[in-house]
Amino acid sequence: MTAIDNTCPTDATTAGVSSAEASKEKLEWRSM
Amino acid sequence: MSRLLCLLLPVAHAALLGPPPASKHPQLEALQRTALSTVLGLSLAVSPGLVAPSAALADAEFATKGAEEFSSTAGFEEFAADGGKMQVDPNCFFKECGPQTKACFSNPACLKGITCLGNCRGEQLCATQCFARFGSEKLNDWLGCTLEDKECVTTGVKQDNSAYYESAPPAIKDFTPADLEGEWYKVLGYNPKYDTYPCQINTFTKLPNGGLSNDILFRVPKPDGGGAWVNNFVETMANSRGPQNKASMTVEGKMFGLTFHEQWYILGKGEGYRVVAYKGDTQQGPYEGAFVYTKTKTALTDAGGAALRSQIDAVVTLILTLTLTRILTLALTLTLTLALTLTRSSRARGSSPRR
Repeated sequence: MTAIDNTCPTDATTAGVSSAEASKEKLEWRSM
Repeated sequence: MSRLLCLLLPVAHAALLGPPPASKHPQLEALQRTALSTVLGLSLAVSPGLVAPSAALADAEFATKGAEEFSSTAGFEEFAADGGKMQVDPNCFFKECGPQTKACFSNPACLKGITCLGNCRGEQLCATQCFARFGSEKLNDWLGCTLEDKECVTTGVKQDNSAYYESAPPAIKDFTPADLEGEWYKVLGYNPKYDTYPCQINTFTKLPNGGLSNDILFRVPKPDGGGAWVNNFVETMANSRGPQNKASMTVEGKMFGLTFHEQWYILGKGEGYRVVAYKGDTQQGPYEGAFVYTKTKTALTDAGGAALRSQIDAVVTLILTLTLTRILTLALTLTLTLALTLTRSSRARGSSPRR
């Protein structure tokens, strides 16, 4: 068994696309 | 998170794909095809209580390099590693999963998610990072439809996991769901693919049907070393011993659009700790792992931590001994069976008329 890192620094963000990204439906060159 | 589901898709080169959704913008159509041409491998990660392109491409490559040490898992990944050829029906994406494909392919974030996953080529941490960065309902819907519901990509071989659960680890007899209620920190993990993500907190709440709701938090490190993504899932656990009557509890649900089944085996419990093993499967193959919960995240390093670790190690050692004994018994049985067969065969040849 390996020890799990539970230091948990505060520089964390929520997983998943942001609501702004999720709602963007227009595909553009810069999107790639 | 205790689980990550893994699968690998074969090359889905743009030229092989069927007609893309009608577009008034040829350049965007070209973009979509370019993105798809990078889908050389697609890996899905799922985990409980289981990490950007201009960025999808660059990050996927970065993440892959950082996790090469991970061992392989059964299912699509091994199938691909062994050189197995998967069957892909690109037209299926559009014919059978038209709404999901259109919704995903017209959404930049979803398309980036597919591209990111494709560049992971089946590597688990990389795929988990893609989901953490680009995960969305649109992506889940596309994966669920194309991989599971309509099977646009298959190995051509149906997975049979029935025997997999027969060789279950020995769960303690006096377990009750109440033993897991409350907040627990994972402090030790067995399988580096699924069990050792940082900052895993599982909070179990009693359900009216005797089961438990498991609110799962875990972090996925960002590939550039700049922080982490916090993932949150909720699973429903049933107070059931499973079809083989060997489990402590069972879990069934969907993660990243794919169905999973899981059996948990509580191997040991004591003041402030629980030792848990699990086996699970998806349409893409089986997986397994183990971990240790404690009531505080520093339980093993605080005063008294060494004594607690000794208790936990004693449980793990006992399980390993029992498992080794089972393997040796099985090997002995096979050897005796083989010897008996050879003896009978020899006798049969000896009684045959000689020329």
